[in-house]
Amino acid sequence: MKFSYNWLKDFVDIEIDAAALAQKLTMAGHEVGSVEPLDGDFILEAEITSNRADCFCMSGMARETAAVLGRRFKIPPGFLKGMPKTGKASAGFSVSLESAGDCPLYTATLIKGVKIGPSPEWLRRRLESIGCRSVNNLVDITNYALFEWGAPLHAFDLDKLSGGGVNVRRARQGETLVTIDGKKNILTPEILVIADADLPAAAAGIMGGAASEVSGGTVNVLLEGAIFNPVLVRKGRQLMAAQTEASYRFERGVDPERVRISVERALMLILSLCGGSAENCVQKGAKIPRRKRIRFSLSGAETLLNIKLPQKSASGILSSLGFTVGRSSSDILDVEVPLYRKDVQQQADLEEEIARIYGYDRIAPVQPSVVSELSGLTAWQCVLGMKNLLAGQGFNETVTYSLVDRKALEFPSEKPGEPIEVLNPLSREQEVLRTSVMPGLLRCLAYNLNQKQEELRLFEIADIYYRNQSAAGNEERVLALAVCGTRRYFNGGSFCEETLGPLHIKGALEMLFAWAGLKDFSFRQHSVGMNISVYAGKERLGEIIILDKKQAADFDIKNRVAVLAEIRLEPVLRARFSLHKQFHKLPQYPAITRDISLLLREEIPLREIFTVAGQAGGGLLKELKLSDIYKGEQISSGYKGLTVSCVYRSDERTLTEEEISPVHAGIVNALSDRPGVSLR
Amino acid sequence: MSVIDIDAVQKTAEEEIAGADSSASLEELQNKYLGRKGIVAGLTGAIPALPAEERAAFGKKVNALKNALLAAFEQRRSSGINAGVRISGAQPGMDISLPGVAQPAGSIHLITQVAEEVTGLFVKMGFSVEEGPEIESEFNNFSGLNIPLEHPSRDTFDTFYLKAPGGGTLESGDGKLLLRSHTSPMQVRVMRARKPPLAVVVPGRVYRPDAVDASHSFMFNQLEGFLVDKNVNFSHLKGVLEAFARGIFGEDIRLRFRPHFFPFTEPSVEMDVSCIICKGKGCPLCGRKGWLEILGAGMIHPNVFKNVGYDPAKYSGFAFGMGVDRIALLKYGIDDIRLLFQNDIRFLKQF
Repeated sequence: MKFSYNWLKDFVDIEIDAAALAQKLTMAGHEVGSVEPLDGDFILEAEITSNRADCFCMSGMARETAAVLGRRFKIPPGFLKGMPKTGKASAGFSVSLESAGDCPLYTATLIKGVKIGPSPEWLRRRLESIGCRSVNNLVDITNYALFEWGAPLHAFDLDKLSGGGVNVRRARQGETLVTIDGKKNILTPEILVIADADLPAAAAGIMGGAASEVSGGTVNVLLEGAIFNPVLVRKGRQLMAAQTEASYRFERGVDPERVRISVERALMLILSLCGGSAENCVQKGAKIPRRKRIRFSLSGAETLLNIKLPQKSASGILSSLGFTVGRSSSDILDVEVPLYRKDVQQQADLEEEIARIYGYDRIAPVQPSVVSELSGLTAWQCVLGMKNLLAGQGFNETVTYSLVDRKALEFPSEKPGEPIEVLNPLSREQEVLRTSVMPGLLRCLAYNLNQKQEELRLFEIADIYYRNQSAAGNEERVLALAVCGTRRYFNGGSFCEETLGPLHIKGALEMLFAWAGLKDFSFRQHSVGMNISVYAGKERLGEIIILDKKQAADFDIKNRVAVLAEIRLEPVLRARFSLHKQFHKLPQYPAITRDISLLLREEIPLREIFTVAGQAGGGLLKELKLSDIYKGEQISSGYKGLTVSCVYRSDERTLTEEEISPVHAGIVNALSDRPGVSLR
Repeated sequence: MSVIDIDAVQKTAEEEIAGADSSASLEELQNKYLGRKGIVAGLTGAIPALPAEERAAFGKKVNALKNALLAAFEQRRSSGINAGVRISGAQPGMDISLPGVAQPAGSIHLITQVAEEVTGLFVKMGFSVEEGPEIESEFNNFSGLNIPLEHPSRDTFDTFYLKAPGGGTLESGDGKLLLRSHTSPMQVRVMRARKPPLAVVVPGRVYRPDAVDASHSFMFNQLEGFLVDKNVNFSHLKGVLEAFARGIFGEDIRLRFRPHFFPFTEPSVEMDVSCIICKGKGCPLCGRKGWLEILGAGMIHPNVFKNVGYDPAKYSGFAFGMGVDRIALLKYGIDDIRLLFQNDIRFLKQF
């Protein structure tokens, strides 16, 4: 909100310049973003926090100014005009309230015989200096009182209201109100209105109606000062899409003390600038609440703030802010809270008042001694370790949006459950929570390929979200990987090229699983070219999805195969948490390696060869390794050549050729007996 | 033996020394020439057999050879055995300006790096790291944190609610479900589950319905922290946050703590650091204020303690929350938050 330096000076003697004041207010909790000179004045733009309803006006900020400067806040003499005696219904006007909950206070002051015209120069300029447009003298005065005291007022043209009274009630379904901005509003019972005998004349606390607007011909005026239920005002202005200076303040809370003073200030100005006479004031509403009293413990504040707080300084600070302070004991102050400080409810609130005027910068920083929980390995650390491993394997971590458009869910992955939609998305791009991270990575692939990046390896560790029968909002952390494109690299002698594919993802996963100590994982594929399921034992961890060129084209990836994977992270973390490494004696005796070269049908997987060899090998066979794979001229089509190395070792003795030969022959025989497999 | 022989021996030896391509072969050469049964020893052994008038001159020559070779070996060693020598096994004409051979390098996202850097500072101070769910209940996100429903303080926490299949809001046992709009609900979760002393930091994703532009995103990353124990005071809040700020932005940074309002802390604080670009003079980055707002903090509100079943008379504590993305942008001079989520590999590889 904008504050005028000169206007503040009406209420407090300020002996420092506007920039210095801005600095002090900032350090007391009202951050001043800018100070601009304007026609002999300075305009301070300050951010007022939502708890300080009392500071959305000059007098409120003047009170803060007085406190930070150690001065007195004062209302100049002749500023206010007392309200006329509360009149009777017989005076020809009545106010009725449907509910004191909706409208805790309503005062209607009738002023007869006013003369509407332009505002005097000083009034117009003050309003314009803080960004309020001048309308006419009477309307300007209501705004002036609002900006000075923070309680919004409204003036009706009394002669445009039918039936000699107003009724504060909920709108009836379908009633309409053309507001002063010219907009026709269709009302609902969630909106509170001020109605005359027939129709709504204003949306309470939000905006007046055009029909009863004060204009050039207005002679008699109803000046409204009221309090409306903040929640109701908030709902109403949301429904009407009309945030106003009034609604802003009603939402944050207006109190009876400031309503009275606002009306009295406006009356003073109206009578002197517009003429006329105040004839009658009707007041309705709930009983004015009593001021809250807080027993404030000085030692409590000293302990929390770590400062020395003599009673005199505490009561000085609190009194300067408008609190009434009495002494109850050597430690306890009896503090009475003015109604405009609804935010102050308890000891802690007063501690903040003390601290911010005392100055946060005067409180010394101290390092606490923290009793830390030595909780061992955390998921955070573990995930970080995984990220480092993946980056070491050439993968780049991405962060993609968890909220996506519905189209992103059209992806050929297994669905964990039903997607969860957002009730109030701002745009199509944020309408649903993703059930898989893969579509996000796929888009990153497409984007980067479009940027002419050739070799893409991406990963993300993030949550997926879904609904199922067991829970409304499931959330599960996954690791997603994606590769696409070609890697062309220098091996020291010449250039090699490799197409990134499923085995690159498999390699990264194998490395992670080994690091985590995840036992018996497997990659299962129903047939060549199909998606691959990843298992740990019998537990399904996730899948690797291969999009051929045609499928990838649907996702804006031209002429390339894209491979993606997604793995549930929890089983991997679980394995890592329970991993206990144990020392195994280094081999005492040398190993002997024997190779077998095979020719086999292309569709026979390596796993089958290893299984057969492993079964035939017995205890001395310690390891099976693939040491070559070849296709080409010497191999007839439909076949492939493999060389498998068998590593033999005993833990008890050095093996001899005589011991190994029969075992190795057994493996060779077992393999060559398999259909489609022959020795080379 | 003639004088010429000795010169020839010296020439051959020096060539061989220069050609040695490993310390082992140099060792071998030294043995060959200067060893107990080496060539020089052989020459020395031949002296008695010479005519008496040649012995002295020859002896001098042999001694000079020995010294020259010793010096040559020494020099060869000190100049680095591999320098300028063809490495065994390399192709002739190997060009060291060729690209090095290495595995492809990947990268860790800047957000992760900054989150880890910040987290790491607090871990050093004794905090532990916890993470919480992004789908939260209205209680944990709001009511438990003393943020009343239908209150203007909720405006700054505009929130994505989740839709029930039949329409309306998705509900759980703990009220309406939403996407957490800050990491503070973890205060409620952790305090409900455990007893003080607590010192916890929580990094994570949060969501608010903000239109996306250079400085706004509907998804961003925060880091929450809180410390609860007996006798925790405002000085501790300042001490911990000051240590954090200096750790991230450097020792010479200036700090200020301003009063602010958060429903879940009282007193509340915003911490600013002196602008890292203009050092406080005022520039476009800091909006000419000279200060950059880095985090919100405060002493935990007694109502929050009551909501989680702690006795506010017995315990006190402080809490803080900061935008990890914001710190990343400031620290690395990135002018558009969208770059963090665009995942351009050329951007990712810069960090």
